[in-house]
Amino acid sequence: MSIRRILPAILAVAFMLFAGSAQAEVKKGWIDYTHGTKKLKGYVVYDDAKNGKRPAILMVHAREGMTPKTLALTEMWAKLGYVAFAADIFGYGEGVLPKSVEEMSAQTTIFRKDRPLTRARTQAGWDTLVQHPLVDAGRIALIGYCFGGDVGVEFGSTGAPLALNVAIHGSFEKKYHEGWAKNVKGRFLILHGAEDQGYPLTTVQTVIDELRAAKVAFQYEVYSGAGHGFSSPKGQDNERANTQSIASTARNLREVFGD
Amino acid sequence: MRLVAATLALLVTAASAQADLRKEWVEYSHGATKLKSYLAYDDKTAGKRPAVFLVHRRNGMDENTLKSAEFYAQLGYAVFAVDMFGYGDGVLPKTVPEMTAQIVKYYKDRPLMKARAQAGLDAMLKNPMIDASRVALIGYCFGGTVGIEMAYAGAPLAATITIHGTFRDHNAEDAKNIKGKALILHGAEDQVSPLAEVNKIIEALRKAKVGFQYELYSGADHGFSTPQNAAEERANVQSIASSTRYLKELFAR
Repeated sequence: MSIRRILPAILAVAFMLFAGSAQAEVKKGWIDYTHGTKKLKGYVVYDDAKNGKRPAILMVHAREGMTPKTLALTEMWAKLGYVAFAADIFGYGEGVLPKSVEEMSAQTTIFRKDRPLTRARTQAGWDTLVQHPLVDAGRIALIGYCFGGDVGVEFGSTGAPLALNVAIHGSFEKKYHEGWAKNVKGRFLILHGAEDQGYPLTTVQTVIDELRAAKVAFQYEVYSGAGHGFSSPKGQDNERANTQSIASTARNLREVFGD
Repeated sequence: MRLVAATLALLVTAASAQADLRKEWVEYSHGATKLKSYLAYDDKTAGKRPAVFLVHRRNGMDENTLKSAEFYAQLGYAVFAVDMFGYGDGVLPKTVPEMTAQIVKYYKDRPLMKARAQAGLDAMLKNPMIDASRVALIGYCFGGTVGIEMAYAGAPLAATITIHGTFRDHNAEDAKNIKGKALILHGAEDQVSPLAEVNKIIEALRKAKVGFQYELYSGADHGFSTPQNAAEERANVQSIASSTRYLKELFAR
């Protein structure tokens, strides 16, 4: 599907990274874990040519779940030299992989309605990630796409020790629980399309307002002409937004990780 | 001082060799007002080149304005820091009341503001090294209002970049006249030009289908390019990096 569309951006980042360095060995694999009785299956990627503990990315998928696009994005972030782990929110370990928009909505609705579940399910992914021997638990960033951006806000509100919390065309709620930003650790990076119809700028503004009120560090970027889901770009504006959002995330990761 | 430090840090990381900067004053007039703008360029670049039309803050042609011009000139552009107040007649406001007196004059008289800026643009374009089809405006604070006024008037700008710009009393309908793109770099705690004012510009740009990028930095107040705290230091560094990248993308060099 959309891998072909994001491939140029992936290659660009890969090129930036590996220019001048030796060919790296990228390890990819699945990690089975559980949350209560729910079987989960996350995807982990890292560069084996590098030694020692390193910063990590907790990636949270869009409403599609653990699709090839999610895996390709995980690989893209791993190429920056981090351990990248795509957490399974829906239960891919039990075979949950929504195919139609209806099936996707059915999944996201479960988590939109049950916020304690959203937080706990994400926490299970976090707990799995920090057990990885190559992960420096003091340097972890969350990157969420669409639904994953909403999960990022919810998980960030628990006070999880995230260095950076990135929402790429995040599917934000119109209102989160009062004072949700008060416990937030680390910086938010919110990258959004100006023409996102499902999650318009007025909705993002409510998130920004809470971050401001709680004095949380953030950077917010808005890209003209870009709609929801610009990370699977259709048209020039989305292409540009996609490229910019990858570059901005990479820069912010380097800044917070110092690496 | 801190701006200088941030600027130097960026310069050091630039991969290019140190170029020799030429700096000169350009004298011209607008009606009876004598003007004196500042031109900086790197003499190692051959032939026509893109230009930055830099519009100062309420401080006018002060040291900071010249330093900013020199920074963008190091990137290979011809930079023309336009004199809006009449530095050619010696106008260089020293105190806040003096600065306010100057900006209010132009905020109130938009035809004067535009004609004064246009006089600078005309003077700049007389220079044969400048590629008239590749001019970006960078406006700080008061310069943001000047930038939006010029862009809304259909000035041939490839891009209008505002750094903690003020956006005073623009006619949103005029956004349809914009020829180029826009990059808006703003502090989330700007007390002089709050988010409501910025949001009006964003809405106008969206409606007119102008290509833009908007960046908002937490904890930064108005004037973060002369940073007062860590949040503003970060906003300053980010805004310089972002405007630099934007120019590179725009001019493909």
